[in-house]
Amino acid sequence: MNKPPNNNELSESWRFWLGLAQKRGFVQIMSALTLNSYFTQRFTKGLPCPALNCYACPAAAFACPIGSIQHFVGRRKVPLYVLGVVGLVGALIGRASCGWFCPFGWFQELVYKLPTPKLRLPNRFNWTRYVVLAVLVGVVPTITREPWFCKLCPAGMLEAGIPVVLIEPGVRHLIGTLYWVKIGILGVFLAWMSATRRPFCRWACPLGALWSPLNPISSFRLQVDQDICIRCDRCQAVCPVDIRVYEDPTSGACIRCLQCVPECPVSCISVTSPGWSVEADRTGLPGAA
Amino acid sequence: MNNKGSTDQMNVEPEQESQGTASVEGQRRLFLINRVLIVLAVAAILAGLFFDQWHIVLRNAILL
Repeated sequence: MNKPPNNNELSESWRFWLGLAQKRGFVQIMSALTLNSYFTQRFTKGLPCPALNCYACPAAAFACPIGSIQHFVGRRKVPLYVLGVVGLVGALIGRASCGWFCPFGWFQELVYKLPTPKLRLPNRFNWTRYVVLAVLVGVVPTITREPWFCKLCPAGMLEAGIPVVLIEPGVRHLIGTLYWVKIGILGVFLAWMSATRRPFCRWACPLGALWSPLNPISSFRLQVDQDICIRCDRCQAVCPVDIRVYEDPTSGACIRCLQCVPECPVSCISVTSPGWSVEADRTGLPGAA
Repeated sequence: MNNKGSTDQMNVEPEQESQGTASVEGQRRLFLINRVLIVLAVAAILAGLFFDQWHIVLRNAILL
């Protein structure tokens, strides 16, 4: 069994990731502001953002990748550009965008901090997000030529549906049954996210479903030194998606938030990348990765 | 006892060595897949730009 390193033995790269993990809240705030920076939208709205951020939001500066994919699918075109951007982000950082840049993911984490009764749910049924992706982003928009995921998306309701109706009285006469259905879906998720960690990301997000299979092969990955790990489950206790990191550090559910890295009492979790894993290991010692 | 210990060591070492080699090969395979994926993604972006999909995304986003 390897010996856990003491603080003096930790490499500079490991300290860097540790410091970064502690700044995640700040990065999430800055990301939410940047993605909804309004003034840049004339130049940047043709770029798909690396997060689920509704482009119908009056302040949105980037295009929602899922909304854009549905638009192409509805026009019977292959969304090469959008899938390329999504694929590039996934290949480089996997689902780290969910943990660092997604405003709706950040919102879920904030709601979970409310002092309400908590409900821990296993990740056994988290394949449902693939069903959402296939049915509401793929099949139904192809048949109906309508972006059905957008019509039901709780993030869209929060970021666009409600603000637009509040800002522009002229659109209030357009409110129909679908609007109230969407309010109901948002209400369900609000109640759920106050009790369970990131339920939308875990069970419903189609963008997360696109990135999940790329997690094991992305450039930015976690690795666990199984010889040092004591299976104390502290990683799961702080994990926003409630996973045991040591069971599968490259799990498709992991959002690479790095909260488990400083939390680990034996420092067995580190950041790695294919091609430069030795440099990014915990101790920086040659051959220790 | 010593003999038994050294026999165990002889049995274990080749196994650990093969595991280490498999791990290095796995890392190399992941590295290659990752780089191929990056190249494919960049190619898809360029192909999309060639077909003016940037404007389609922009128009769709602005019309909303």
